[in-house]
Amino acid sequence: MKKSFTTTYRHIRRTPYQALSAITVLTVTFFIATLYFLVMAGSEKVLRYFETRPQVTVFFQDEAQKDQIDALRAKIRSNPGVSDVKYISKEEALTIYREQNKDEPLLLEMVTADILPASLEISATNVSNLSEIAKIVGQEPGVEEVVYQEDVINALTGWTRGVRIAGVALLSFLSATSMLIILIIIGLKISSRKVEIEILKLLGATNWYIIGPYILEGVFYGVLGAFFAWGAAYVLILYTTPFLISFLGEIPLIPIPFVFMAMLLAGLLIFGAVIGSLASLIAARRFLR
Amino acid sequence: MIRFENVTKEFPNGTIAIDDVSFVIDPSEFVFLVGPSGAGKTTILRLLMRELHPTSGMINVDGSDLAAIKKRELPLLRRQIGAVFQDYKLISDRTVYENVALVSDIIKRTQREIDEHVNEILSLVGLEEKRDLFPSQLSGGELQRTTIARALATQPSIIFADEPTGNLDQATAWEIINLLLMINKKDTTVIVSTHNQDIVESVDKRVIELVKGRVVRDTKKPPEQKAPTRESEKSEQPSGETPQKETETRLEKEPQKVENETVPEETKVKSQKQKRKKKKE
Repeated sequence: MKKSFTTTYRHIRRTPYQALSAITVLTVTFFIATLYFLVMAGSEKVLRYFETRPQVTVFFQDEAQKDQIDALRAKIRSNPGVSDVKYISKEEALTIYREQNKDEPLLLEMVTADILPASLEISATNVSNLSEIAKIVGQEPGVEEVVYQEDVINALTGWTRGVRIAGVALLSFLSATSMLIILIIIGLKISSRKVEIEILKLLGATNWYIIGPYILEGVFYGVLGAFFAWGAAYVLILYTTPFLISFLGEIPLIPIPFVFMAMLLAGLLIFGAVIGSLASLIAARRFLR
Repeated sequence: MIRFENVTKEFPNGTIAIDDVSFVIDPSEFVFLVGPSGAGKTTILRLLMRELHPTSGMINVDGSDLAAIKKRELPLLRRQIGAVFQDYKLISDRTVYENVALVSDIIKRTQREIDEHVNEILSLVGLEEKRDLFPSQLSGGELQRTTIARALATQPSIIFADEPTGNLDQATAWEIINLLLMINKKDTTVIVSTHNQDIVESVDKRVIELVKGRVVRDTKKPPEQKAPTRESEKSEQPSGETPQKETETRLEKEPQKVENETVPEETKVKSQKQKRKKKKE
């Protein structure tokens, strides 16, 4: 194994520009893949954020009794499609209203707790359950109005699905491109050493002895490309953090936890190693037949 | 032991490289495979290395039927046969030392073992001082000696030298043959394919002659007269001087004769060194 590393090192040292171009192209490819992966993960998290927000709001008539509200609350909570139910009393509604309009004193002047309705804020386990929940609570006595953000959630779900599909397609395309790059570079190297490989075979070298250094070389390119791409993506995220925080508002996406980035690095390194070894293996096998 | 039994090799274009060839080469034997270009000498080496498969017939090396050897076992067979190629087949970007050490590395010797072994072989073939040179910096004789050194690196039971003297002047050719005879003395079977009649006639060894792929002459002595080992060979010589001795005497004389005419100074020094070594032995 040590000898394979030495041979790999010699191969790289003797063709430094090929190695440099391989690492550069792979870094760019992995960088785009990393950014897109982060966008995908981010959009999933944004969707999850919206999904966990109260999605159905049930406003009660002023004459609705507390026991009616409690009964409805208990009934809804027992529904398997509901993840959370929160009661907002008239006083709490006023506090929220005041908080939301603290910069507009005119709007605050005329409003008292009496004119604001009590409500239940319901979160569904799945967006598809929203209309069913709205229908059930709409028929209950004492309910004045049911508001739910089906359109917003549906649009977001559609977008997320689109991002996911495009992401899978893009990542597949970039993986294939990375493989092709390594395959071409290793293939060229093997091709230029065809005579040496023939000699090695005649001298009794095993296939692994011959192709081992080339596979290690592919792994080296993949791993290094992945590492640099991760580093560049991380620097970019850190650099744009202030902008992203103001852009995303209360959605808790930034800062990205370091553990997540460390896991992303591990995944990228494994991905790079697999792509590199697979491409080198394909390139080498052609010459071992 | 190498056994060829009715071996025929026909290439896809219809060329018959060897045709119904049969012979047996005993362990520790020294055999010349002679014949004009295209007679099938190299094909025999390639069949022996299982670079080619025979169209028909059977090849057996040290008890193994080559046809039965699995692909993954092929490296083991090839390590058993030290091949000396006419075109050297040295790796151009590796030094003499690295080329010879390569085989030791393939058979997974430790670095220390490799160092010891390679230095020993390089001194045997007289290339200690050239160890750090690249093939492009070597003369024809030195290149051939490097390939012989590499062939010796696995301590094979068989050495097959394909036209080892083909590109060399007479004096250097004798140095190479000398070296191969010395290797043969150490109980290694040596097969030398050549069309250098001078050498073949001067060295009293078995000759298998091929013409157009067929064996037309085999000077193998009948079993009762055959000398399987060097010791018994000596005892069977009525004249008191063994063929080996005769050969050695001739070898001592032969390069000397040529040296005066064409041998470069460097080669002369090497020849002298080799003679001194022999005397010591």
